[in-house]
Amino acid sequence: MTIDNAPFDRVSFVGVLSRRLFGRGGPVVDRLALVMVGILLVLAVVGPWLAPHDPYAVDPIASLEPPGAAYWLGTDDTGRDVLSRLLAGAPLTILSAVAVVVGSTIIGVFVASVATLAPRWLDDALMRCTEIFLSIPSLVLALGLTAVLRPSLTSIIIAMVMALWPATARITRNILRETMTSAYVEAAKIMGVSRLRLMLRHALPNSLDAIYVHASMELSGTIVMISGLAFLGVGAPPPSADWGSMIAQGQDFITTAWWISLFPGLAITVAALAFGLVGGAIRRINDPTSGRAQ
Amino acid sequence: MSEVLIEVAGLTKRFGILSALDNVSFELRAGEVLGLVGESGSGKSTVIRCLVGLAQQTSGRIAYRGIDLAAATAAERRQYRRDVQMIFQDPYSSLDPRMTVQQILEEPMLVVGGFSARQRQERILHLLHRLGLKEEHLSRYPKHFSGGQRQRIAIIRALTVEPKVLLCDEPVSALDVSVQAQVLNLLRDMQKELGLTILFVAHDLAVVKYLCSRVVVLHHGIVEEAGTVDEVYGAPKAAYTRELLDAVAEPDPQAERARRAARLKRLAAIR
Repeated sequence: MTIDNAPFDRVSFVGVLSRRLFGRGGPVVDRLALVMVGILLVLAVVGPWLAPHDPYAVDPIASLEPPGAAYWLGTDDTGRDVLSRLLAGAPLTILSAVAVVVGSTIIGVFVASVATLAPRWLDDALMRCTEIFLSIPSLVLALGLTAVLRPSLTSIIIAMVMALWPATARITRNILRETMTSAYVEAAKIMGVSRLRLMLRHALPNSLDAIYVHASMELSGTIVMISGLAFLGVGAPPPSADWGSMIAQGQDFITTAWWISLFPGLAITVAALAFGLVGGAIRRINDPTSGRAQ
Repeated sequence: MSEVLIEVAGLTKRFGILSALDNVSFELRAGEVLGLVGESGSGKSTVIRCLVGLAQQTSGRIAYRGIDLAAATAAERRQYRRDVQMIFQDPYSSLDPRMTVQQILEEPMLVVGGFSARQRQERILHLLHRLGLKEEHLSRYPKHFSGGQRQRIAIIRALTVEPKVLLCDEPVSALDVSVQAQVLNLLRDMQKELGLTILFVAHDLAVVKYLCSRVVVLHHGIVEEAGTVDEVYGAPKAAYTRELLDAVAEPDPQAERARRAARLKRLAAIR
């Protein structure tokens, strides 16, 4: 006899996700978003090799070319191909956003695990620390941190991780606390299972879904934030083709050569939207109250 | 009379001004099945939670084989945790959904220690067959089983470390009526075979009568009445016990009609 009515009661998260998105009856928007995310991730890895022109080659003769047969998305004021720069910039924007989310999730989950297992005073101390971080807007915090570090892609990633882990830590701690009160954790506690094993074997594996959801929701905001920082000039130093700095470079020509800023802007929008939709879909699949789960 | 395994004396638990347990005392003797009955909110579950250490009593004493648990050494407490195992009410939430049945059943033995891999497997297979499950079930996850099967898995998990006492917190109330009897029979058979001592918490008096030899009636955290099943069911002393017994339905429709009429008359007389 099989009983498949409890939404949280399943084993393979990835399996359920793919079944929900690719199986019959999945929402079309979610599927499109997932396909888009797949394309973006592939482009983020192989994009630089697909570029039809050298993204950094300055060519004064071909400057400010509108989109056409030779330059599909036009060229900027120094004659660099916008499409090639978009492709070259994909890893800078998308992969660094992924790195930021992975980094802040690892730190956040670690701190949350410590806080959950720790005695009351240490838990309180850690949570007050995260609150101090959270009281500063993360964009401002990241800006300040990058200013202290030398401006480079690495320092942007470090600054963003530092700005984002407190939120993850707080949310994860609450998730873990809740999982710790479930009957199977209590059952293990009664058996005399050590606190460390309780965490690693029972609480963490059963909280992973909720942690994935938070991370996937965070990804789209991170893409926007990284581009925002690059736009403000604290990203990877020029001439790198970060999408945010591409918009900044095209600012002066926005009325005459709109394509320089428009296409990186669209790329950021599509990426943020696609990742955000997939994050939302993952959240809905996980939400036991949505009634659509399984 | 047989040895007193667990002695609960003057157990009191307060949550703020609310008194969940007030001076509750009873003894659990080796080999008996003791029923702890009462309506929801009467403090039955709080007794169990204090017994397994999930809640700390405000005052009162819990002793295992004469040793006060509050003053027990680490080794004595380990022995207690091994000897006293628990079956939860809801078999849908008491098994870790991300562990296979094999992992679930192995965990208590791993925690207690001293079982070789072969011994673990032998014990699991022995109990698995004894409780009517199959070897191929070991690689499956809890979600693949019905409520009755899950509760049997929970019973096997409790029995793997050869406990002396089983604390059952309404072990069948979450199950379909059709499988309740099956699980109850298994519990009774295992109790007889292994000489287990059982503390059986329930609100269903018919179930308690079927399984238990003695009963403690709990009401608003106070022990209203205690005695053998025959005494309490035959000649209830406390008014609350009579009310509880009045509420038990009769299987025979004619007797059930008579019971309802008598009960209404009694209730009308009170008002």
